[in-house]
Amino acid sequence: MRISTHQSQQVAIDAMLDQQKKLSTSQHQVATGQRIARPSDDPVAAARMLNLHDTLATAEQHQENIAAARTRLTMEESVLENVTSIIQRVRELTVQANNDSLTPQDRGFVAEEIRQLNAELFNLANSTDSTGDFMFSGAKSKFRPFNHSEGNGFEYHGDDGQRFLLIGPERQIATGDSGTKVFRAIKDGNGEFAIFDSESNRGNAIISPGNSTGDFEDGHYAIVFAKKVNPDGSKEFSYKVTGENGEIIIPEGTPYKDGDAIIFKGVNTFVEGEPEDGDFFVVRPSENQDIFTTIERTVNALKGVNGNSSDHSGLHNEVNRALVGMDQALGNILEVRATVGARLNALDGQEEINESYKLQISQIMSKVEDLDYGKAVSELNLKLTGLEASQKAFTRVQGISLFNYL
Amino acid sequence: MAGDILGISASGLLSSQRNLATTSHNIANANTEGYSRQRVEVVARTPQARANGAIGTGVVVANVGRVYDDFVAGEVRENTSSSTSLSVNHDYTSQVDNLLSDPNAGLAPSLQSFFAAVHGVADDPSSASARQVLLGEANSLSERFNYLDDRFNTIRKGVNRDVHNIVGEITEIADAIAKLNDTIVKAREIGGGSPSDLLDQRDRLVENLSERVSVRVSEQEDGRLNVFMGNGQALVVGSVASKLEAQNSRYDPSEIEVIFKSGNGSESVITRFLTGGKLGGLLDFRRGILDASQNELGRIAVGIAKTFNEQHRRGMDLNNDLGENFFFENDVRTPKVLPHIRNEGDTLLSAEITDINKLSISDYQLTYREGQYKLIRLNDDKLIGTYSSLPAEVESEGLRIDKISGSRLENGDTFIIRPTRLGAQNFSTIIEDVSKVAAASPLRTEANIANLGNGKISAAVVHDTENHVFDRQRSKLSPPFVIRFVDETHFEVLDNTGNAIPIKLAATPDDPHIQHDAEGKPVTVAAKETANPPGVSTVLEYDPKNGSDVFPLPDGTDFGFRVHLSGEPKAGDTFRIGFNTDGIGDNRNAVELAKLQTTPTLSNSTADYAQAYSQLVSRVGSKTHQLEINSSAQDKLLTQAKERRESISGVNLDEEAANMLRYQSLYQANAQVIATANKLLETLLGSFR
Repeated sequence: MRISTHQSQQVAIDAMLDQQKKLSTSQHQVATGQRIARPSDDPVAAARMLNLHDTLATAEQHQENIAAARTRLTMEESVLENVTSIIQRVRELTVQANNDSLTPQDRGFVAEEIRQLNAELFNLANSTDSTGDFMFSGAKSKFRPFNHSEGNGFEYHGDDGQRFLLIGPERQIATGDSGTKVFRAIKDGNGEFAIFDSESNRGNAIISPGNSTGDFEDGHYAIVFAKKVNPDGSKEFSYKVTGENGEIIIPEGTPYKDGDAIIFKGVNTFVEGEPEDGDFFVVRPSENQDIFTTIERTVNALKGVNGNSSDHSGLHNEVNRALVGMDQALGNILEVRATVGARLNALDGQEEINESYKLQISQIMSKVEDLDYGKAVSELNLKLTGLEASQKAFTRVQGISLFNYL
Repeated sequence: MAGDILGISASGLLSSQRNLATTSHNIANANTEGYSRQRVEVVARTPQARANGAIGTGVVVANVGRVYDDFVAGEVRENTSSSTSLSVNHDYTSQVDNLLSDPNAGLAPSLQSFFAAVHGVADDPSSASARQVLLGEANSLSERFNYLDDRFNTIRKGVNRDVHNIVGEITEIADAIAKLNDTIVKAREIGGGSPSDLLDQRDRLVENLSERVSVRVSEQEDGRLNVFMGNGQALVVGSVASKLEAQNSRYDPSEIEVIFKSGNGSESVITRFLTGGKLGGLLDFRRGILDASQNELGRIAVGIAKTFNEQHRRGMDLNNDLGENFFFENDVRTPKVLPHIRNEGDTLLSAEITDINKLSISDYQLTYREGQYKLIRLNDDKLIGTYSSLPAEVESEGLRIDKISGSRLENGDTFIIRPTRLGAQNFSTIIEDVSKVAAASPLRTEANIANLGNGKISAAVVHDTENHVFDRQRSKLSPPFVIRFVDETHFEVLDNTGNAIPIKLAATPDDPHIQHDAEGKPVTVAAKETANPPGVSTVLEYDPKNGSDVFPLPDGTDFGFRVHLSGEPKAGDTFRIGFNTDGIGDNRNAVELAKLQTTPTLSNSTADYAQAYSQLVSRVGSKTHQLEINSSAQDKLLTQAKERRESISGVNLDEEAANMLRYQSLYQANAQVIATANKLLETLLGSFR
């Protein structure tokens, strides 16, 4: 093929330009350590990188949320731990005070200590978190959840709301519990029913709070005692149980001995001591009662404010109820703490999942994006050699002309 | 005899002079762009017929012509058009490519920080600073959208300016070709031969033209060259050149169209017929990349605005008000409909995005003819549908087209619909007050503390705050509801304000609850509950094993939210659903907003916001990549074609040097013959002395 002089020069110049362009790409790669400078270098990888960056950032966000959730739940857990130990202490004191050998004055001291503990408990229920939000007022986080006033007793100003945080794709976790759930939604009595002694009782019968058998039939029942004193001085006791509309459940005259079990409609209880004729006890379904009220009533009973405290039976009945109430409260708080613990565990689990996910993504990202230095540097050398060669070739070819020999 | 010799060798001298002159012309033009080497054609002169045969009379220059191949020249032209087209397209596409991928300028980082701020509000919903950060990030996101759109517009202006300039150049070149046509014909008439240098010049002009737009040429018999472009528009016919003009589009003044003005004064828009060259490349870029990318970015903007606003309106803010739009939506929502300037009717249309999920990134053209509206999707020229009246629901495209004003429509009236072009430009945050961020859910559900059973009510999931029960003005639920269990397996849904809701529910007195007086102090409202509320009500079944969903009610009545009951309630147990007044620690709506980041809300539920953006980046990236490859392949083809032409027409200096030596010796030989003839003559004359 015929070659024109212009063409032979142009070819050499084009070759040099081309080599320079390739060299510049290689140089950029080696300088930045990145294989992809612009999406067009590898469009599929570039789009993938964008998505991976996004996924990584989302996973990091989830980790941050986990940290925030952990702070809140750990705080809640530590408050609940204190709550538990206070209630346990109150329970111990109550058991102590239930002893007949204590003087009313001693009982008053114990009552005062329990009252202090109740105030402490009340303060814990009004705890705030690091941002000044109340921990137990549900969504109404700027409202002090619990108030106490003479006329209205303990009032709740929060709601049942819970705060949630996203801790993983499709996974969210509650980062708190409402005051209702922790302190208020506690069934009195044994959780199924509660037994009250009548204030008009004259005898010294003490009724057991009863075992919950799980099949309590809702309703109000009255256990009414009769006492007959025989001419020989011996006493005969009998009782009957009636429903709320007067229907007979256990007929009148059923004989009764100290400690006999009284069983009806899922209620299983017994009475100790001697009831007077006409003394009665009322069984009703358990209702929610907040822990403060439960403790306050105990305090009042111990101080003799309520019932016929001159006679120990009223005190014992009240205290017995309070003790099962406290057991209910402890059970409830234990349950809440168990869910908090489970959530903290879930956070740990999810954190590990997120962390390994992040690691995977980072590895993929480095595979997609990072430069193989060995390969890149050898390519750079190759291209340098190429450019040098084409430059030399150009000067050599340039020098040759027939005119030189004329 | 010696006279013959003198004449013959004089002709030899002349022809070798001509050859030397041509050689020096070739050497002089060795580096002239578009120069074809010239060659002297010599023939033996007509011999003198004698009885003993024909006697030679010397040599004569028949023609000085250029070495030139028409076919190869055509090849160079075609490849030039393709090559410049691709390289211009590649240059501009790379600009978009760089813009979108720039970690500082792209959308991805802003989007990420915005949602990080949403998570921040979810982490601490009552914190003013977290909310302030969210508003700040929302503004950065808006600015990023606006900036990207602004850059697109800058590029668009650049394209328009280039189109304008190139169209002017094309007209000038066409003019020059027409004039050269005349000059060439005149030169032929005078000189008789072919005016090689003029022809080269004209070919060079045609090649320049090919760099700007793809053209086809055909030569007339008289030597004039006709040039055609587009789909047959005659740019040059003989010595007459037509005019090209860049004018504002008849739909949209910000867009430039190419108008062809023929010699007889008729005008036509030929933009869509133009291919090849810089012009073709620019127009390809505008259609294929710029419009599509801007529309796509706009779609992401509209998508974020619409979906985020939708969820935000389902929330409640710090002032106990239902959430309002977070991002500006009115104009974004209303896509642009542009009537053609020559429409004879006076009707103006509007379009509304009815489903962002189905929306494509294309523009549309609506044409009215004989009572029918025909809608064409412009990126694939697909007929979407024919409608006989407005408003037209274009469900497959997520659009509704309606009439704004006007009463007349004439046959042939057309409109261009651009659903998302302005999306990114109009994207802005409208919430300025941190308290207006609706992080809370507007509903509160509560189990009555006096309940005997252990039934639970789930948090309400709100999906429609436009429902009549949501009172936007007074920020309350009207009516609030109460669910009351009749027995363990039946419950009734009741109005909690005293007014019956339209499902024959009876009024039930207010439950005890806590309100706040004017100073925000809690005030207890005593229970007024009666044992048996009067009136009739719908009693619904409850499944104690799996729990039950309460809404929508069995008759289909929907109040815009859902709750779930579970556990074992007892007769008389109640559950309240009311407005979440003062629920400022609630973050449920913020969590829902945060979830939008990874919810596929675009492109038929295939992409979330970030994925839609990465699709855009990937589309532009692969287009750039493809153009890069095609462009370099096309460059090779062009180089080959040029090499072929150079191989035929190019000057080789060594060859010319050799020729110079050859013609020099030829000249010397002829001169020697003259000297010999002279000697012969002298000898002859000396013999008479």
